Amino acid sequence: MKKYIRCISTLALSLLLPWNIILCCGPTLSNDEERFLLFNSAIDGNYGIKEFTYSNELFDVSEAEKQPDFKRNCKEWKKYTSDKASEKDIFEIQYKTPPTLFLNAYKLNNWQNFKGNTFIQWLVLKENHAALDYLALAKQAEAVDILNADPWDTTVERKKQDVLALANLHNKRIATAPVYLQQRYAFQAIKLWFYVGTDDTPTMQKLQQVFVNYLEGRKTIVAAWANIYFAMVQKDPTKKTLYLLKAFDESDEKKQFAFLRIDNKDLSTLAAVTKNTYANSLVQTMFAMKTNGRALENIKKVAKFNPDSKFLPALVGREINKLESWLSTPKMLGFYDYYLEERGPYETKTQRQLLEKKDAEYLSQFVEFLTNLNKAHPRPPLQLALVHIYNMQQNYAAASRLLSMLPVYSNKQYQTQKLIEQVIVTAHIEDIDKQAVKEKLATNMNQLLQLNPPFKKRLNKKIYDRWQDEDAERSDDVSELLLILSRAYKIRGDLVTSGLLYTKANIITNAYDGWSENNEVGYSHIAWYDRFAKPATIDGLLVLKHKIKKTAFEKLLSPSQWAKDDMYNDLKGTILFRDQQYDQALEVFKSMDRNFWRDNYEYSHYLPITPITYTGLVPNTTNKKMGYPIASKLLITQDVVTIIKNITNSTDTEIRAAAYFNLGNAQFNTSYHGKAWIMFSYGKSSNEPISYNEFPNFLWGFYNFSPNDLKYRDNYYLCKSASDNYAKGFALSANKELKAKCLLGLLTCRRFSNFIRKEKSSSMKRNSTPLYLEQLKNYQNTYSFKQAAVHCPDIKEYLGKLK
Amino acid sequence: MEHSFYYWKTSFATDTTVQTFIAENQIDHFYLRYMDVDWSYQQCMPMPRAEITGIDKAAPFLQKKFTPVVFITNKTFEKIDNYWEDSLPYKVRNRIVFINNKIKQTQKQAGIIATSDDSQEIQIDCDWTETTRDRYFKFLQKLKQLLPDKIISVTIRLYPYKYRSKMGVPPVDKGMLMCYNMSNIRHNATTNSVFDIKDLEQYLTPTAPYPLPMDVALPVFGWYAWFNAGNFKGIVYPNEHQQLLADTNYFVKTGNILSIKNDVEINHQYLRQGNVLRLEFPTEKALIKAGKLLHDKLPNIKRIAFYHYDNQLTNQYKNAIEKIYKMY
Repeated sequence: MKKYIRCISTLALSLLLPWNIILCCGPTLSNDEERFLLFNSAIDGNYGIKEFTYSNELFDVSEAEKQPDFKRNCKEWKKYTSDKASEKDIFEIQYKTPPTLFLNAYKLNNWQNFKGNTFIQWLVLKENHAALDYLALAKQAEAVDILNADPWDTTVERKKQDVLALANLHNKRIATAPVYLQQRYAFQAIKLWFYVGTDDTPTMQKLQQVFVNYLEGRKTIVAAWANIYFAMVQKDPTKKTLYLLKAFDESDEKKQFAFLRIDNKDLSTLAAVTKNTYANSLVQTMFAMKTNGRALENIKKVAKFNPDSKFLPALVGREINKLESWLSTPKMLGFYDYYLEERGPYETKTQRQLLEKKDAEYLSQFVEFLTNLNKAHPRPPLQLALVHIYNMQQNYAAASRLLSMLPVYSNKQYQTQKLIEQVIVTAHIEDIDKQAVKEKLATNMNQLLQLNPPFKKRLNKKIYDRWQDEDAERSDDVSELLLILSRAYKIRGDLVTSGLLYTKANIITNAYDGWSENNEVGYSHIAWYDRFAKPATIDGLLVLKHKIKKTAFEKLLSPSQWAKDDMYNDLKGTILFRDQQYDQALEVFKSMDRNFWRDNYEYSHYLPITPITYTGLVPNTTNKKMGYPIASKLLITQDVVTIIKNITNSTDTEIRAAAYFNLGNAQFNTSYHGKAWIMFSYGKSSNEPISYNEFPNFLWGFYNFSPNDLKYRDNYYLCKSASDNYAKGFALSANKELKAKCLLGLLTCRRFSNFIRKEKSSSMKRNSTPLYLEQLKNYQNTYSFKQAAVHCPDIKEYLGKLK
Repeated sequence: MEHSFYYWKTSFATDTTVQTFIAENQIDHFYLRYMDVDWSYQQCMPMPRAEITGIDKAAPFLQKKFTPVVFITNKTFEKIDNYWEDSLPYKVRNRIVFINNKIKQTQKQAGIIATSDDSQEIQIDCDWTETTRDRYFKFLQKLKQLLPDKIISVTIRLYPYKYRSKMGVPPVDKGMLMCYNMSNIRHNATTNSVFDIKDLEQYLTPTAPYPLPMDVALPVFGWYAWFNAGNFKGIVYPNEHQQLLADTNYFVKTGNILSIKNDVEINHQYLRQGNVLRLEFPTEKALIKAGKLLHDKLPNIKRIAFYHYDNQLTNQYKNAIEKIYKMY
């Protein structure tokens, strides 16, 4: 069913959101999703560094990157077979074949299951039996899985004896094996001894000896892996740290293990004692990777010790991501950007500004460092990093100059980054209203989408599922660029383009955008326009929607799914209604399908069927049964327009006074407190209008009226216009009953608006009691007052308090 | 009345002060955290985690009576299927027996004469919810069937204590009322999420006694709640950073709030200028008041415990501990 209005109270929040992961406090964002990062800190390759990019998840344990090491091992085997076996077949045997399958074949010398496998064909040759025997033993070692044994098994200790025997067998074979296999036997023995446990001192001594004799310093993946086991049995923390660093440097699979076990204190000790530049470079790399704070000083040292360090691009990228988190994220996404002076001990705007200034200074220092580094040791990722931080500094001219010197890269990551920078530069220094520039932007963006299918997927609300996206931060780069462009067009006043770009971006900013409905009805289609559009914006939007021959840029703007026309028209009429342009609102609603609200509104009952002039709180002669046959903004607006005609056209004072009273009623009913609030707003929440005080970072999570809550505060929350009209009715009428009703209307407005003032926002002072409310005492004997007191006994009580 | 303490660390370490501490405070009993059980998303099964190690250094804590405690995450009961509903009690029982055996060996080696063959009580700690209540209670029933000679006790937070009809009463022999972690740490308006005497008073409103024999535990621990722009970012544990936290180059203290003056990193958490840390340690005065309050409200308790043993913390709360023990 196509319904789209969200009426969300705090209590009902979790019940109404179409969300598959719901916590008690509503939906959640991952730490990476709430950051605006456009520099790919893993730009320089696949050496298992990705998980060490700057992220709040850094210290969480996730799956280590194993594939590069596996491939390296296969390459070594391929070389050993003199290229007789293919890398693919070696991989199949090494990493995809269960030990039992291999060992059965070995035992029976029956390799039928491996027909066509070039590695097996090579292994079974008589002259290669040594290698086959090794693999059989290695598969036995693979079957030993003490570390991943059933965690509830309490018999592991006994099994260790078998493992020890197997380790010793590997060790025994070292002596007679060829060098290549010697290293592998040594590695297996070391690994198994380590599994048995470090309490056994003689075994640990053997482990160290075998490592030194056969593996230390060797250029083989098994030596890289063995660093870990050697490190973990060291009693001296400095030596242990050195070998953990080596493992981090030489192996991808062991990086995470090493990273999590290296301690900053031990790193400092190692830094103090070592003269070795290789070790020093690694120490500083690790210091930089282990901090979520500023690491420029460490990075400078890495560059000093080893300007060609393979880790430098990643370290520079991490630092840029930090600066993006601190500087770009609040500006672009609105997270951490609500600093209110009234929040007691918590941060103030002034403090935040000071912090931004300091971060900007740090950015400058970083630019200086990177400029110098690029002069002496230019490398594509470092040059692209410099372009990016020029852009962050808004030094677009420098970014543009450097960009023009860079080639078209065949490396996908470099070229992607280059295109990203190009779009940022274009958005800021070229005339983006010009057709040619628009087409250039479209070309660049399309190239980005072609290079990176995840970017494309992200833009399609029909197929993108953020909960399935493990790389949500990286896959949103084009979305973030669209956001940058949206801002640029908004500044230029092109609200149609700006809104479409924002909507297309499909990115969560700290604003309520509804959720990504996959059909032509849904608040997310109009959320941005609800906040910023003018009625003419909607006209422009519809023109573009129906344009047949769209330019490449217009195609880029177009959503994967347009909303139906009446959704946009409904918004246009609603904006006009808010602005009290009732005639024009009526014309818009007349142009729409009469059943639109009934058929599409989730909560259409908030478009009442009782008359809009009947509040239920103030007695009215209006027959409450004479309402509307169907939920309809059109019928309600029609009534409001009729009332206004009575005010404008009638010469009878009492008729005009009654019309003012009814207009007051209609405006009260369409305020936050009234039965027809949905005429004014697309949702309602008990958090309004204080959501940004209480939940500054959670505006995206539940319905709020921001920024319209400020724009329409007086009329929507504080019933100003309704009060004014009640006051006018009171002043005009000579009829005691009508006067009493107008005063009761004023009283109602005052009660509700004071509730908002008192309960919701300390910044809104309570109204002092207006003199005319005092006058209500003079009407205590009217029928209207008595009626009101019957329906609402606290009126009398409230009046008593005024005395 | 027994004086008790929780030992909640993951390993035992050499501690030269513990003997004196036990003697001075006439501690009769320890609750020893044996292990946690948590749901593993990788293996799709409940996993024992952080099993207690360093048992060879546990002797001081084994001299008196002790109760093994197993902490089971609520997530475990959210996720387990029928198979695990049936087998988890067996697994937990076996694991407890396994650790008990290790402890026995240690006691033997250390020449400690155990007060009995095994500990008489087993405690399960779980912050259950309405949704997991049935599965958790079923687990407890089964555990009791498997260990009919043991007293099975559970920890009870203040919320289920107060809202007992909604949260249910666990089918066990006794309960331990945990008088801490009372309010939402994420809220700006919270004064102290670990312990606030006003909150405690509000939770102790039921006049009818809880339908289980109860003991009580009070906190002797705390932390800092870290806020960035009013948003809760995490917990900062002060353990090894007391000196840094007292450094006025980085922190300005106003009441229970530490404002960050200059960017600083504590245990990989990067605190930025303008961030704040809310001090969340119970005050001695509030603890003593709580001791009196509990004495009045729960007059039949048999054991008063503190959570948790750490020589630095117990030193910090020395007076409060002494005074509260003396009340009972």
